[in-house]
Amino acid sequence: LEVRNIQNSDWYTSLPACETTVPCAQGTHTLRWDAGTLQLPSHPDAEAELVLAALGGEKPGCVRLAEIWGRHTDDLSVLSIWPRGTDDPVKVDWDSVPDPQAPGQPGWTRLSGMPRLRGQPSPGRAAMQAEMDRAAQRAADMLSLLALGPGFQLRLSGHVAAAHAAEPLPALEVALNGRLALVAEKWIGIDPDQVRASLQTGEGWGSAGMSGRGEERELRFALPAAWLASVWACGLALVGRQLVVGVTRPGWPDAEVLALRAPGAEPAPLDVHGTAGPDGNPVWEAAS
Amino acid sequence: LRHGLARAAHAEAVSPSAISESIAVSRVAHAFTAVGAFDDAATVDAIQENLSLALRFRLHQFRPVPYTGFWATKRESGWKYPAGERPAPVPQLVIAARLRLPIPHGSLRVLSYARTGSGGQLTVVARLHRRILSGRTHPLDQFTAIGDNGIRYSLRFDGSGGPDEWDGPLVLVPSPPAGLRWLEIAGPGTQACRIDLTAARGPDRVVTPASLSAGEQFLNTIAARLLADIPDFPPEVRRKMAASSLAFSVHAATCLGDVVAGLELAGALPPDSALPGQLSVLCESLGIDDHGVRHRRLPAELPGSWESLLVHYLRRTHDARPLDGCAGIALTLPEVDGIVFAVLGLQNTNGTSVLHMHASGLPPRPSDELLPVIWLRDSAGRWHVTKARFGSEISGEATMRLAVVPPLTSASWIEVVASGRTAEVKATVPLHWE
Repeated sequence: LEVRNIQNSDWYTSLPACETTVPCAQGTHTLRWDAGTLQLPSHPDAEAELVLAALGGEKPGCVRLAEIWGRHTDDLSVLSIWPRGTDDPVKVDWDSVPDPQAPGQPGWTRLSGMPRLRGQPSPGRAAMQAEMDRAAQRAADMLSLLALGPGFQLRLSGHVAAAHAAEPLPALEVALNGRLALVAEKWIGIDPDQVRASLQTGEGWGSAGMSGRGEERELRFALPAAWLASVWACGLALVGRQLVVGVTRPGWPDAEVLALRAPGAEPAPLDVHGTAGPDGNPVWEAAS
Repeated sequence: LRHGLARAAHAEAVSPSAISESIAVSRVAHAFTAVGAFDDAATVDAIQENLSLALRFRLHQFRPVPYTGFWATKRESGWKYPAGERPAPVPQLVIAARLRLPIPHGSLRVLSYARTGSGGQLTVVARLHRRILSGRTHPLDQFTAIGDNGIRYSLRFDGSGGPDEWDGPLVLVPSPPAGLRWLEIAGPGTQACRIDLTAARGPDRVVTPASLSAGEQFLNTIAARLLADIPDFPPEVRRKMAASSLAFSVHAATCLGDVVAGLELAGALPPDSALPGQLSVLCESLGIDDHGVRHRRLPAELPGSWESLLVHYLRRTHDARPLDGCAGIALTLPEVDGIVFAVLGLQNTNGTSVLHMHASGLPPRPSDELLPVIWLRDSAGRWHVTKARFGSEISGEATMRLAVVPPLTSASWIEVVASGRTAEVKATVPLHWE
């Protein structure tokens, strides 16, 4: 068996397009993700609108969201903070999202929770204020992106994982651990705290094995970092009762994966077929 | 730390498990910072900030969460312990003074004079009648001094207290030069009194290189904080209170098991160290059962200082209340962890003991959690732990007001021990109570 080292740029081949509506100007517009690209159908000339905004015009909400999206496509903290599966949802509605162009609005006040520092200006105070502003801006960015919904949440996580797939970073190992633990719980009912995952750096799909009994039981995985983007972010982690460890032929709606029936078993090829779920994320099942 | 983040983020954001995971991450981060386990302190901040956001985003009703934990870490990070990295200016002169000034409606005792890098100061203890505090100027700000060089100094009270008892530094303005032989202090309605500034020979000081690892020293600090903070009532009462109140269930040893595991993983704590076992015995003796340290060989004995304080706590009879009084002290300890401590005086007031000190070479915004622990051993052989409150820190210097636990009663001398990561320094000084 051979698992192809799927190029980072191709990680989304097994994902369908998805759309959501976002507040923009006085109404709502559609935001679309397709084949790794964020699209603004209502703003065919976003570049020109950015120029106008730089000259003092109002920046459209869609354009602002696209800028925020671009700032976080390689932000590893997305993998630390964001949902790690369908059982770990984070729901944010637009009323909770601050509007940076309308400071003082309820959303903004509720978000910041951090008043302006009072007193005489000083270098230390200025640095502290700058740090507080940075933290508030980061939280605002995250809330805006989370409000795009589960479809976009999954896809942005995929972008981040793909951007760092070649680097054996501790944050990636933790991201792998956190996600695999939830998948393994649904797979064989193991306590997520009994799952340990590490990054596979060599050739091959990796390994999976169980040891110990009772409270000492431990399910150990070694998987490549690319699993996060090409498998997990494509909704392929668990197909039926099989845990997917790699993708041998990516595609939408049909793909071929390498899947485990049980810990310790050899992975076997599996043809899968996907349909788009109501939240924009794929639902896969074994092809008949 | 990152795994703690992963676990905490999975828990319901407002559930007890999320809170305990969050506390565990914070405690382990604190321990790593203390032992210098991170090259880049920003990593700790980033992990804690991510945890804070992960929990916030999982709240069903989005609510702002103050960044107190984040800032607490921020304050401590970026400081490195090793001695020599930051110059620790040694106080040029510390003189014990035994001077009592009769002042209208009260009394003023001068315990010591110190000339430090930031100027000259007298450490004083004052008893003032409340009615003279009604004016716009604090009575202790109305004193002046004149030196043998003929220069007149105004004195600015930089201490604390009230309504009757006040103590702390009286700062000389302008800063006095080196070589003063005497100072005469006077105030409204007070006759001038002279303080001899001729230095006497200081006590012998002992420096012992640290025998503990950084992690062990950190656990020592936890023990000192436990012994200094724990409410003074029987363990069984404490257990009941901890079961009924979250406030009593969070303490210096909260998540100790995670901290020990983290320190071992970071290589800061030897796997065969006796400290975790000793600390777990200490916790249990104090009625703290949820320390989380498991599978440890029971230690043969506890450190003498811990045992001495434990005896104090576990005794059913209380010591006689110490008599009010004060003693001037002049002691500059050798540098420990890049910090030079000077002891300026001791006072007993209203059943409590306070040690006045000055420190130089401090990190920005110091907290006693990451600094050497100051222990005292009295002439009866009993140990006392201290808990510091810092005055304004300027250029790495600050005065310190240390609460002594348990209070000192009728000691004729004390041994002052500063126990840090790099060394333990100590010296014995006589106490001339007044």
